[in-house]
Amino acid sequence: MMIAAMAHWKKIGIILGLTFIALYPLVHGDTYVMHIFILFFIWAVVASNWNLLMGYAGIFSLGNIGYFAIGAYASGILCKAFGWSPWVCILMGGLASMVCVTLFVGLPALRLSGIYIALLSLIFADSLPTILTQTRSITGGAMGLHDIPPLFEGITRLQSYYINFALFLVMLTIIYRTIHSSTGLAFVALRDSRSFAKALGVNEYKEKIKVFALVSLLTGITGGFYVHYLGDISPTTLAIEPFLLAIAMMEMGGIGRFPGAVLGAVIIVFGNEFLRLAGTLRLALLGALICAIILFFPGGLMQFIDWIDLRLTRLKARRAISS
Amino acid sequence: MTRFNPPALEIQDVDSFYGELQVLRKASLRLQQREVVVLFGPNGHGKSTLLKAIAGIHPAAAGSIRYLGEEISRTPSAQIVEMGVAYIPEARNLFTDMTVGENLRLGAYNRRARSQVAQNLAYVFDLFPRLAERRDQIAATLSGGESRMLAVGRGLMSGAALLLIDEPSIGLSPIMKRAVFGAIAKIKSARDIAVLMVEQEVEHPLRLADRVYLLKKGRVILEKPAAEINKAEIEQAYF
Repeated sequence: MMIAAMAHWKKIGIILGLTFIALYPLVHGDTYVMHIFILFFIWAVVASNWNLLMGYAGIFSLGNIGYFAIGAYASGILCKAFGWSPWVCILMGGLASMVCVTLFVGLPALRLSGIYIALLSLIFADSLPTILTQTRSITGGAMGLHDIPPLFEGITRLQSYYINFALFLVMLTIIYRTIHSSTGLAFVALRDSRSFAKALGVNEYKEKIKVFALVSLLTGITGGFYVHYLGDISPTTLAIEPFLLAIAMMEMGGIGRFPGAVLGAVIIVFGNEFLRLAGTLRLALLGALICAIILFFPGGLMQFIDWIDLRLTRLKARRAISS
Repeated sequence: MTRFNPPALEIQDVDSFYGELQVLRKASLRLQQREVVVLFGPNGHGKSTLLKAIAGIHPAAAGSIRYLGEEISRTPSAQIVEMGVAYIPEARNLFTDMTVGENLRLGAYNRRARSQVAQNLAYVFDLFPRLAERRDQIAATLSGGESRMLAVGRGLMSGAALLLIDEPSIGLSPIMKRAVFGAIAKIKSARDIAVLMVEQEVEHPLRLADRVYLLKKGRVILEKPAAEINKAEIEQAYF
């Protein structure tokens, strides 16, 4: 019994984790903790998408918070200006993000590689605050956009919690299925060896455009959910802190490993919140935690899990021999 | 009823360079459909370069390469795969972080092969039962012989009509060599496929081949039916 449980400890862990998340509001249901959970759902999806682009496709994109912000702003603006249903606006926001990113980052990136894609995507995201402050009549400028309607009138925290939990599950399923589809294999093949991937018939341009379009669409949609949950957004979303925290989620989870970014998001989102007790020391403590993980497990938490796995396998083997 | 049957591959006066260095000098050869041809020659005389030129990985600087009558010397490599040419690179060129099954699925990436994944997979597993056993194993953990089997299997997954195999036996034990060549012989008899193979080792391929070419200093210096040539004659040309 113990041995059987050990062999499937990862699956059991995932099921326990998801059950906990699903039941938490019903059992305890502290609204503040629920808020943190919702932020976790959102950021886990953003970081997982980023990981798909950076870890799996090997495209060094630094602009993902920008893709997120375009979706968020577009959805908020459409909803306020035209009074459309937020659900439609979220979808439009995702499409807006997809079109902008594919045109201004994806297409030029076909001719670029490595660090130059990083520069291009960073400039893309970095130009957004300026554009936002220059178009105050539409975007609210530096003050941001306020009183964005929620998903529906009179939505409760509990409903928001489950809606975003569903978003989290759906998005992660899409990402998981993409990774294991022939498209996902092609991404990894291009990352590991461009010339041999091409020798197998992988169409580099098509796959690159596909991954940019997919990641920006999903990230943009997530931005829409974020903005309709919070009700306001400002250019500070594009500041350095959210950017670094999202990167830290990926790094801590394990770049190029599937649920890695989700684990990273657990640590960063909850750590960031609970370290508020430490006041101004918050970022320093968080930084120390990140350093410690990277130092001992350069492959992030996924490597830590592999390490436990190896220990358990050895233990099992030893028991099998002795019995 | 007679039908015009173009040769599987027709190469004429191909030149190829690495920077300033000319590797192929007016190399020409031809492959009939369903024919197995082995290209012998000393190291560093352009055998692999010729395969890379055909596959479009290192395109030829001059000359013509026709596949089933169609000019492909300027065609991008991905499209060449789509047309039915599979290139199986030398040595360990697998995606080592992927499982055996994923490597095989990647071989069937092209549009034509996608509809036949299940059939081709069954065929490859039938040909190399070892791969079926190791399906969910990471490719990095395979032995030298197994990874060569995987490379050949991945080439077959593309549903190709022309296989370009670069030194399938390099670095293998005699038993593994026999297994790999045995598989190629099976492919030859069972499939509607032409094979152009580059080799150093003479004995096994000579038994398999229909014809033989010898490449030296980037030129084809000899072409003969495999039955009319012996080991000594080939080895002589190496020096």
